[in-house]
Amino acid sequence: MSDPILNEVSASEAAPEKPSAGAVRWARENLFSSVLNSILSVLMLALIVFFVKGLLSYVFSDERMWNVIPRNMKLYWTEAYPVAEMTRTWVSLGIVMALTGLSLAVWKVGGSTSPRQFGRTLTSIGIAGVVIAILADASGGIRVGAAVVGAVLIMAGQIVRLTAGPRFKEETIHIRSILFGVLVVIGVIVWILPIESGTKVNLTVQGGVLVVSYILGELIVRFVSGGLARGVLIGLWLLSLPVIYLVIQRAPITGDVPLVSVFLPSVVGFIVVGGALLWWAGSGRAGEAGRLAAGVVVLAALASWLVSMPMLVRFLLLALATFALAAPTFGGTKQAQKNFVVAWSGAVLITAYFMAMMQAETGLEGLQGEFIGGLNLTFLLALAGLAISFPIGIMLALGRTSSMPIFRLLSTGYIETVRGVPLITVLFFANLVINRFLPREVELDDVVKAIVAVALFSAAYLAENVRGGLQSIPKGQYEAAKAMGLSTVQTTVFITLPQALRSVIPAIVGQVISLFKDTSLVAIIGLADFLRVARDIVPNQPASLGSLRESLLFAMVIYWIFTFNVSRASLRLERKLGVGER
Amino acid sequence: MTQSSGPKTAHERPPLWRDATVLKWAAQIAVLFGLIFVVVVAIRSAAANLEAQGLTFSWRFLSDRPGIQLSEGFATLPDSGLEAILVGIVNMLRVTASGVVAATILGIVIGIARLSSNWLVNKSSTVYVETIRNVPLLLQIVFWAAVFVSFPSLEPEGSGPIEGWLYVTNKGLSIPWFFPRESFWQWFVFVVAGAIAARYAFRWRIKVLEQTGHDAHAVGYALGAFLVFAVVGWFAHPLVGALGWVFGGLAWLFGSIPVLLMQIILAVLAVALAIWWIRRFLDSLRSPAGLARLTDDDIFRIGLAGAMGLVAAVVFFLVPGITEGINLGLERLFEFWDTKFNFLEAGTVLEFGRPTVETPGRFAGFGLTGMTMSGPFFGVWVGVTLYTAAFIAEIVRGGILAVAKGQTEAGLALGLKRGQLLRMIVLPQAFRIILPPMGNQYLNLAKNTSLGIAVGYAEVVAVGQTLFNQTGATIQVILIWMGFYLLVSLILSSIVNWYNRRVALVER
Amino acid sequence: MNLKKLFAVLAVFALILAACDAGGGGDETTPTTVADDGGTDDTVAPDDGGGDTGAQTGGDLLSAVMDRGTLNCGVNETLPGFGSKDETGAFVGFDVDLCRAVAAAVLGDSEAVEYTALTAAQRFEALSSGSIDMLSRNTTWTQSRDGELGVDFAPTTYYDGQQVMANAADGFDSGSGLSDLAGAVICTNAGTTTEKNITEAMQAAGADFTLTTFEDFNIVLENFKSGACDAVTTDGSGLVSRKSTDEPAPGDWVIFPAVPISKEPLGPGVAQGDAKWADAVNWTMYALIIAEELGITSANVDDMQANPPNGEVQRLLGGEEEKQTAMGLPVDAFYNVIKQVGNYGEIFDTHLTVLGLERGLNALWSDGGLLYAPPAR
Repeated sequence: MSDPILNEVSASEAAPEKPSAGAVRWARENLFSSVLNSILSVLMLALIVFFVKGLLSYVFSDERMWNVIPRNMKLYWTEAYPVAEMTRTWVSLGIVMALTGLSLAVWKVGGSTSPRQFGRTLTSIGIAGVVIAILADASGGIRVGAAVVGAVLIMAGQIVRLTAGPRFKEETIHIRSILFGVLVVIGVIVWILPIESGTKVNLTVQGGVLVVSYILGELIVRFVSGGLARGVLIGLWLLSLPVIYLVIQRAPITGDVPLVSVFLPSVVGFIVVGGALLWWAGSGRAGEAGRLAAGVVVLAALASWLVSMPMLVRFLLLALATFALAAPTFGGTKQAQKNFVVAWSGAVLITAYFMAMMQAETGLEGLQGEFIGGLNLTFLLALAGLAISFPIGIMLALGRTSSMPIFRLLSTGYIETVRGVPLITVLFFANLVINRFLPREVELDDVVKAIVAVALFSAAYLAENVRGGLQSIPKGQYEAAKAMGLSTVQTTVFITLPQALRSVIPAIVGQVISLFKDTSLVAIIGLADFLRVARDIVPNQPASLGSLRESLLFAMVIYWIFTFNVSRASLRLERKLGVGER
Repeated sequence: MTQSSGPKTAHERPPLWRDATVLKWAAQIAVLFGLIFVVVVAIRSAAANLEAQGLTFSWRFLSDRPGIQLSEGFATLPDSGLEAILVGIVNMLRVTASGVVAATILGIVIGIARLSSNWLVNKSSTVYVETIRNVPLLLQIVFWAAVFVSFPSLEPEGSGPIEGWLYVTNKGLSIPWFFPRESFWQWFVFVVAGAIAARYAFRWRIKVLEQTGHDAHAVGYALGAFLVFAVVGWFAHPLVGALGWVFGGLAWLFGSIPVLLMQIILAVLAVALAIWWIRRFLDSLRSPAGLARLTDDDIFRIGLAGAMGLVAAVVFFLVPGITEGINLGLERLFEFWDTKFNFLEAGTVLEFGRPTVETPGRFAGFGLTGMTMSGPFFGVWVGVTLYTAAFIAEIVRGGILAVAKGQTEAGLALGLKRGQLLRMIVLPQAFRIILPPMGNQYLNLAKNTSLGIAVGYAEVVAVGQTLFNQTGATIQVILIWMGFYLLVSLILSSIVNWYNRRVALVER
Repeated sequence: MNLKKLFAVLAVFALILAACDAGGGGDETTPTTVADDGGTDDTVAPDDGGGDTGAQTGGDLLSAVMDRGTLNCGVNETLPGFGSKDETGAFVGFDVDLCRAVAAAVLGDSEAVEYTALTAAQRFEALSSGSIDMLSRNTTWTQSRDGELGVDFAPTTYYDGQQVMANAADGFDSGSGLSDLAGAVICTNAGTTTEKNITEAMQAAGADFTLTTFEDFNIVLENFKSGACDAVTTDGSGLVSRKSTDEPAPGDWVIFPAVPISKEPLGPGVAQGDAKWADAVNWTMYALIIAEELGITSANVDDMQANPPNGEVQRLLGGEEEKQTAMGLPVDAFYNVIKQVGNYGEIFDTHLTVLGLERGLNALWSDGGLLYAPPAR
């Protein structure tokens, strides 16, 4: 039975209006919807064209000495690293590439996109190329080249959209494939450009490492649980920092280190005896005696600094003290005890390894230990500063919200003082003054001083972020933990901190970005980081005089690339965690 | 969460080495002693090192003539180290104040632009924010200084763009300006009175509006009141010159008051201030049910306030130099005001100065009649303004988005246009959310001005560095820097907190 | 929160007050400034014995360096011609070659050097703390540095002087004087003596000016080229080298006054109190000059050693009656220097002549310059 009214309604709905051609309608809605809007659009367009034309004419002018940059690439990336040992920097980069590939696979980054989106992206890049061709005041070859590339990309974009057929809005193109495509294109460009052949090979190898590790990661994820893979990968990332900077790039010679006479027995002794002690202390039956034993170890650790003994033993005693104090918190069941002792053994081995590397002399020649420079140094400052400031920041945050007045006072005093002064004064302090406060025999490397300054500065800001997270935890959590009989330490470690940290991850990432940008300030105190190379060292070469602005523009672009990507990643993380949504 | 421990009877109290309270206090005291020990060792080391190198830790560089010339400031050839540092401080405050104003305006504009429906405006502001936020500020300041250098050069004749009115050259930007002259402060008294009157007028008209419901033109009345006072003051300011006698009297008072008397007064003031603060604090804890139990945090605060009062009183007695300094400072201050206030003498209040180009020697330079901005100032100012504006834009955008969607919808349903909606409904509510992070950004701006050293701007860090390069007084200069910046951050955050409390929502 | 901030501020001020008294009773009569106020005995009392690294203590740095096998040298990395970095990051320059010469003399290998790039603020601290053995960083020899700052200077290797550079279009020529700069904006790079010298000189000439300081001379030059600065001032060597590379057209820029504003004798320095080490460094510098006087170059040094034309050549290159071993140096010390690095003229040519600098005052005394070395006998 057909209803005449319904039929009428459905008939009028049957043939929807054909919208006017997409671009015109879009322009009308977005750009010219009202008189004010139209005026604004015209003004903005004029402003943008003026600005872009100015920028392009500056970039492509004949006076620019752009060849200075490729010629000094080594200086920008690693400054004064000995040329004979450059393989080490390539190996470091390779490690980073491998870990990146694995991470991309394990964390299933990216997902997929739709042909329409992909086509749109290609088209916009193509349009940008054509705009450059039109507006730039460059030589004919460049303009023609840009126009051609632009046109090709526009056509490619349209082809992708059209050939996808009716399913062009569905997400069928994997980011993976796009990444591979981009890598291939970069590879081709690298081989076309007039770069030194050794570097070309190295760059291709890096790309290959990335791809291979990605594929490996995908295979691994199929056989191993996601959680385990992620945990191991995080551990590898954390380890990679000291391994790259202390071991690989520093080329330590272990000949002088008393490996057999001191290190080996210490390691074995500590693992065996310490493991037994921790097994007993964490068993849950140790009770008072366990705490007493922990106290004795703490005293021994403190006393060891007053007596002369190998540094390794001192640090291992400190580690044992920390583990012994934490044993009741992490112990309990047989499984937990086993994990605890395994963690202890791992800690001993890692500590011994890095101490051996640090005590060994560097095998590199020519510079007084300052062989890390350029972008290499910027990364070292940012990552090491971050790694050191994290535990300090968390401790400061816990101190500031603690119930014990003296800790609260000290933490607050430190945080407020450091947050109230600019970073440049802290850097001057660390660089010029801190040597005076140390005994004559202790001499800190310039880079170490800078890392310490940056870490202490950033710790105060991190502490405030973490404190915000700590204060946002509902009281019910504390009460439930108390009701379950958890001690204060257990509450903090298992209940409070994980929640607090998770809720402030965006703020922490913001702090990371700030840290990365702030490392540029060490140029003022004379450390040869990336900005100093770009601003002071390269333009002062006799052959590069007058290339200051080109160098600075290059530095700006590089900084922007890194920071932008990190902030985009943090946005994606925010969205994934649902921060800020009700 | 503080653990409330009830009264412990003897048989309930755990043994000493297990008592949580005892352990906590033992840990705190141990850490405190450890810290003190480290500090003492550090200071001893420093003293030993200084002695070994034959240097001394003295503050003489503050009174010695530094023999340097600063590129700008109220005294480019300072007579003493202290004056040089003061010049640096004034320069820093100049760029901070102008930066705060400019960044706020620009930030609000861009924040609103990011929410615009015009695609071009929206995308351009997004590009702006993303670019500026991701490049280190040091690079940006250097970039803007370089842009300044590319302005046209200053010729004795024919410089532009508007000769005689606006100059944009690489020796400086110069605009006309109103300069305060001798009688400015007399007129300013009227301006202040006008502002107070305007506030009362505003309040009165708002009350009328609420009572009658008719449009009461509150803003108009307020502006009118202000203008009346200002105009009257323009002509009647010599009358206020009588205040000059008051200031003269005060100057004489502080000049001739015996130091001991002043010390007593100051000490009493310090103690009275502490007592007043403690009483106000205790009052705030008082509820109708009686005084709340004092947590150890409160006891600590009370103790600290009392201790500070006592210490201040003792210091005033022990170091007469401070009181003498205060006396001298106050005497000079009131003498200065005395010269500005002259009964029945009508001097110029404001003088309109147009920029001029002078050629005393071979080189064209700007005269003193216009407001000139130098290159380094331009670099620092534009750099920190654009940088901070990007962050403020994000804060404003977040604040506007945080205002409940229902408000916007209700406003639109009532027929308000988007502009009115923004102005009357959304922005006032967003303001409360925006305020604390904005205060933070102002603080960052103040600290970021320290990068002026990279472009040759003579602010306090640059001057300090020149000083310690000449005299070797590194530690002292760094201490001065830290003290100054802490003071600035304290003042700024106090202002923001005070304002915050005023506009805070009173929760039921 | 404000209370705590207040506490922090007070804590800092308390620290300042406390530190006032911590400096051992505040000896007010020994100034720490390099300004010229008279005062009492300004010299640093050398600490005899008990030194850690041999700096300032009369210890034996020469044997320490020989044992160590490398020379620690402090240099500049941002001064073209004197100390800068090439594309691989290696240090090159006139001052760098002086370090290499000392390494060749003492250790026999001119590449056995560990360089440290130092800023102006760090250099004297590095020398007096012993982290470098020798400072070769275009440092001016002044009385205060010799006395107060604990530096002993080697013979001057470059006689320089502070001058001003301005545009010929503004009516300057080489005969102009400082009073012609009245009302100018003069720019310079931040250094310890440069700003002071120009201020004093302009005050003496009775001319007002505006001084703008930048961190780097590149930026100063950019400002000068665009007209933001009317004139620039720094050491004459810097002006000449940048004039030759950056001048738009020959004759556009003028350097004056002919008699420099200040004397800037540049040379290496060592820490005070180690005479043996100072001798080694001093005589290496002299050897470079003597070699040029005697016509010994890196090309002909082997021939000269095999067939010395006169006694001085013979002694210098390690032949009979040589004086090197008595100083504690290897017998072929100076032979290694000339062979591996070259004589003074060669070093000058390699690094400075390419920048447009002429020998001028830095020619041999026999050519009318100031380079005069004591004889090698």
